[in-house]
Amino acid sequence: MKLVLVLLFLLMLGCNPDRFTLNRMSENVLFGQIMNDLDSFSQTNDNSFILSDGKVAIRNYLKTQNDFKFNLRLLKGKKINLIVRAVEHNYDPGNGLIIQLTDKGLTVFEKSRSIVDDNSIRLINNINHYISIRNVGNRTIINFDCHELVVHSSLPSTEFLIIDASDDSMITISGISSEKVMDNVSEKNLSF
Amino acid sequence: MYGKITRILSFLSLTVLLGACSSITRIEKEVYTITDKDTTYNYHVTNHPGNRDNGAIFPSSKVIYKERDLIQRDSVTERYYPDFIRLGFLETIGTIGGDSEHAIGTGLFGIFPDFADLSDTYRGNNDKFFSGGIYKIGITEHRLRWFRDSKNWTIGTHIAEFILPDARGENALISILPLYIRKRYYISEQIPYLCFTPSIGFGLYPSFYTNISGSLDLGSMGGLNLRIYAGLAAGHNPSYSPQIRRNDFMSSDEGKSVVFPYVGIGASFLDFHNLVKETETEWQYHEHSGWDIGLIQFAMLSSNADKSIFSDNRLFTGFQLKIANSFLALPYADYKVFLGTSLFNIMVLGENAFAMAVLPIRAGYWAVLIDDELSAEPFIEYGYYPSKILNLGCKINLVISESINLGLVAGYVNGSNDNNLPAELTNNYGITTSFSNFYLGLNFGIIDRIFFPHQLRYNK
Repeated sequence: MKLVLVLLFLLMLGCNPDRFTLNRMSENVLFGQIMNDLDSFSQTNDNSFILSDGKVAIRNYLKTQNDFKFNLRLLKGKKINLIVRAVEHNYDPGNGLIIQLTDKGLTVFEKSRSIVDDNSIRLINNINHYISIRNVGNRTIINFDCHELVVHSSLPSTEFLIIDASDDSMITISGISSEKVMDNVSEKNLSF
Repeated sequence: MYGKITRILSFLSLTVLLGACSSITRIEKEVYTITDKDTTYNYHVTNHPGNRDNGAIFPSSKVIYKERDLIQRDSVTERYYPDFIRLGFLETIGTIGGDSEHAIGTGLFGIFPDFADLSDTYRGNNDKFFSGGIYKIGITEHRLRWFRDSKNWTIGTHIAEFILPDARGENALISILPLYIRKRYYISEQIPYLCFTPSIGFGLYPSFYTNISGSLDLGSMGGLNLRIYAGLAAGHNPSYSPQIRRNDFMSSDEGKSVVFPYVGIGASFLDFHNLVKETETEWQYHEHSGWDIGLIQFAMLSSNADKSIFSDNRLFTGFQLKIANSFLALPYADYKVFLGTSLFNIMVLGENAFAMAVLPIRAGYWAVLIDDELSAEPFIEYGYYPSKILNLGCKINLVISESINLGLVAGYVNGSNDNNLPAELTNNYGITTSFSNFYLGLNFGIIDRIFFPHQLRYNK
C-alpha cells in the first residue's frame, strides 16, 4: 500500500513538469517548455495559454521554415519579446532575432543590435492583436494586425518561437498554430 | 503469494518510473537551417573573325546570363548536458547521539569500525565515540522547481539508506528509495562548493521514518565531499521489517519506534555536485579537478610471496582491489603532482601476505606519455587502518574508452597488521603479521576515467 502511495506521489510530480503540448489533434503539434517559473504558465485550452511573468519556448519539430500565427492580448505590463531564430534553454542568450513589442512601438534586435524600429506598431492593453511570424530563408515577415514588416537576417532559422513576458507582464496567447512554409517555388522566390 | 507478486511488481514499476524520470545526461537536438543565396553570372563573348574598321562603333557581342539559386542546408546539432544536481555512489556518516551503551564504533566518517566486532550478534559496547552511522548508497538529486522557481531546491532519492543509531538491529531505520527534499544555501560557488543544506527525507519501506537534518557541505572535488551533520531521525520499524523479523533479541509480534537525534561527520565518494547553471553547460566544457576518478581498479598481481592464493595459477599470486578512487591534481609541477585516496584498497600479494587500507593516502606524479592515450603515474601510497601499508610503485595506463582502461603496475609494498581484519579476508588468505614484497601486475580500470591535461579545469 505504501509503495502504491509512493508511486502515485511520483506520478503526480511528473517527470517533466516544465513541458507542455499544444495543438495535440493537429498535424502540426507544438511542443513547449516553460523556461522559468512553472507557475507562470497556465494552459487554457489546446491552443491557448496565459503567461504571467514567464517565458516559454514553443517548438514545431523539424520545421525551421515556419509560420507561427496567434492572437496576443496584453493583460498587464508594457513589454513582450518574441524571439525566433533561437533555441530553448537560453544556450546563446545573444543569439536570436528579438522582436520587442511595447506600448511605444516595435523594435527588432539581431545580436543585441537594433535593426528595425517602427513606432506605428503598438501594443495596446486588453486588445487582441493578430500576429504572424513567418520565417522563410533569410527573411522574417512579421504581421501585426494590418501592418507587415520584412526583416532580413543572417541568423539560421530554427524550430522555435520563444515568448518572453518575464518583465512583469501578463499575456494571453490564443489560437496558436504553426505550419511549414516554403514548399513551392513562389515561396522560395519570396526569400530573395 | 499474491501479496509478494504485487510487491515485486510495485518495486519494478517504481524502479522503471525512477529510471525514466532520472537520467544522467540530457540530450538536446535542434535543427538550424542555413540559407545561402547565390547569383551566378555567365558572360559569353563571341569574337567575329576578320578585320574591323578602326573608329567605327560596333555593338558588343557580349551576352550575360544571370542565374539565381537558393540553397538551404539543415544543420542538426546534438548537445549533451548533465541532468542532475547530485549523483553519488556512497555517502557515509559517523554519528554521535545514539545509545552510548550500545555504540557500534563506526569511526570517523563511519568507515573506520573495528572489523572484528562486525557480526550478526554484536550489540555494541560503551567505549566507542562514534556510536552510530548513516549510509546512503546510489544518491541522485534533481532540480525541484517550486515556490516560483526558488533557487537551489532539489528532490532526490537513494537506492538504499541505512540510519543506524547504535548496534541494535531493531533500532536501525532502513529504507529503499527514500524521498529527500533539500535546499542549498551557497557560501561559496567556487569549486569546491561550500553550502549549508537543510533537508527532509521520508523513508517508506521497510522502515517508516522521517529524517530532518542540516549539513555544512564542502565539495565536490574529484567526487569527494566532506559534510558535518546535525539532525533528527524518527520512525517505526514494523513487525514485518527484516530488522524485527530476523532479530533474535526482539519479539517478532511487535514493531519498534525509534527517535534518533544526531550530529555527525560524513564523507562521500564518487559524489558529483552541479550548480543549476552547470546543468546548462555541455559535458565537454565541464571542469575536472582530478587525473583519475573511478569506481573500480582491479589488478592481478605476480609477486615474490611464498605461496599464491590461486592453487591452479602459476602466473599470478594475488590481486589488488581499489574502490572509489580519486586522484586530485595539485598546483605543483604544472598540476602534475597529485594527491588522492580510495574508499578502500585491498592488496593480496599471496597467502599470508595481504593488507587492507581504508582511505589510504596516495601521492605521485602524473606523466602524460601520449596525449589522450598513455600515461604513467609513479606513486607512494600510505595506508594506516586497519593495516599499515607503504606501497611504492609505478603504474602505466592505457585508455581504452572514457570508462575503461588497462594498466601495468609494478612496485614494492611493506605491510603489517596490528588491528583486526575482516574475517572474510583472514579466512581466505591466512593470517598476516607483516610482509614485504615486490610485485608486477596487470590492472583493469572499470568505470574509471583518466583525464588529460586539456580536460583539467586549471588548463582551461
